[in-house]
Amino acid sequence: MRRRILSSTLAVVLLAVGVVVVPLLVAAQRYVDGADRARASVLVIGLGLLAVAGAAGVAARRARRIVAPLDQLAADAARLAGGDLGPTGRRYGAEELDHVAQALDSGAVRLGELVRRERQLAADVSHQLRSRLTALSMRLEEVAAVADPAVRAEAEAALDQVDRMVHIVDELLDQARTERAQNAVALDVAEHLSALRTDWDDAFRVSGRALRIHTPAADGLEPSLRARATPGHVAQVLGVLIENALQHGAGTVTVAARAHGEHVVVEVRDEGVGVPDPLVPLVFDRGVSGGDGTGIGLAVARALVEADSGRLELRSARPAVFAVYLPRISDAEAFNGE
Amino acid sequence: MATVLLAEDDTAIAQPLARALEREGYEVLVRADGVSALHAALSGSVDLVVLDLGLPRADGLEVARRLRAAGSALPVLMLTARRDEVDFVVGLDAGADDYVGKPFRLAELLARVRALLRRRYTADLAASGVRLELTSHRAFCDGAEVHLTNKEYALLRLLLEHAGDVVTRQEAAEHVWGDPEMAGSKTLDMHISWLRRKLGDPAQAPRRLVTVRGVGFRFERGQ
Repeated sequence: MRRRILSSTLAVVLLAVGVVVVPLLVAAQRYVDGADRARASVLVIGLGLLAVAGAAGVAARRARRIVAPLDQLAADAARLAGGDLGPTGRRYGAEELDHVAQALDSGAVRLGELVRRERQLAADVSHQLRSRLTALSMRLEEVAAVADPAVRAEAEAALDQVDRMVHIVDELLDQARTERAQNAVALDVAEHLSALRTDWDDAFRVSGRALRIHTPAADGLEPSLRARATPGHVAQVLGVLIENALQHGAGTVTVAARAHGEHVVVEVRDEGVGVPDPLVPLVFDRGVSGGDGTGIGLAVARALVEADSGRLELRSARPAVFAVYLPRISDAEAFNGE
Repeated sequence: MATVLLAEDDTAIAQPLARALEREGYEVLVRADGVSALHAALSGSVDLVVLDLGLPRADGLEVARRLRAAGSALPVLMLTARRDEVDFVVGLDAGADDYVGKPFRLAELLARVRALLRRRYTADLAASGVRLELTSHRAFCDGAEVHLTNKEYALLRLLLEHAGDVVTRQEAAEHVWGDPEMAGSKTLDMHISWLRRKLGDPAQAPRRLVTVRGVGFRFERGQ
């Protein structure tokens, strides 16, 4: 893009300079005499070169100014493709670019909502099927407990069918989960957390609050914090939690990661009064928190974590402590090159 | 006889389950939402809670958290349709002692209830300087906390429950992995060697976790 702007500007300038310089040179040949002729030619050619060089400089600066927002847009689009579904809210003051930026933002919101709905549906289906199967199987067990051997045999056979159905439900959900998590990669959570500082330093400075990031020493003695997750999801979810702590909490915000058996747990806490009791069952409901145009809200954040086979929980209401559970890549697995 | 609080909002499940618990001889108290379940659990007249995860007003995780925050050590058996490994971990972190996925067989659920009621009085398992705190799911070696994976914890718990006796490879495979096929696999040996490393037991001359050649493993009782 930048090269194209540069070369087309230069072509126009060269043409213009040619149109002016060539007739001037011809006129100099014809009407100027002796030593002055050479001097006039040098002067004309020199001015021409100066004009070209000046135009090149201006063109390069213009190109940079035009391309910079496009680079930013491309980076935002790439983030979106990587699973980071947060609308950026960035605008450039140029109508065409703002249309693209707006389209990207609303696409991000729609995608986030889709992920949330898909997770909700899967959870509802799973919950409903398993609850009904539980009720069915318990009643069959009561029937199987009667003395009549023929009745008992029939009930046992029906129970076997229930078991098979449970197995099918499990397999279908497993399959859906594998497909969902196909963008998940091995991700060093500790590294990810240290990168947060640059993103958030300004916001914390402005509000006069402090951000503390805590990861166990990477001395080889502690278990590693490698998780299997979609980098965009993790970035987005931590962003929502930190933003949430910054907006609704108080005092220092602490982000701490640790290995917890077969999971990596990242906790985000602040020193505020926490979540009031009546709000506790609702914090992950749609439209209750966040979603103010710059963030995705806790409902979508939870869906993004679950799409990577993780969980997002409010571990403590007072003070507010949110915990993200991600599947951990065990040290042995990492050692064997996964 | 022990009183079991059954916190379950789905009557199609609560009714037969309450009947089954009563047949076992327990006194059963049924509550259909989180807030009244918490209230009943904190009343002091209950010996164990069978807690459904999807309760209205306050879900099962929240009930468990508030119960623990109130200092109650009441055994909690979490009951849920979410059966992924991570849900198990989240449930235990919230303060549950055990976890049964829906659907379940009654015999399994009743066995867990019995085990939890028994465990009330023996909250720790210990041998050879290694101690498992069953209520909090933590392991300690010579007083220092050791971080174990779920499988390692389950394996160590099985070994400690039979401290001084041999646990066969089949028993370990079935109990820890739910799969007798695992008895012949390398995975079991790897977990044993990780446990030894974490417990500071030299692989060549283990003092705590001993291999009984051709049979299985034995955790020494110690002094």
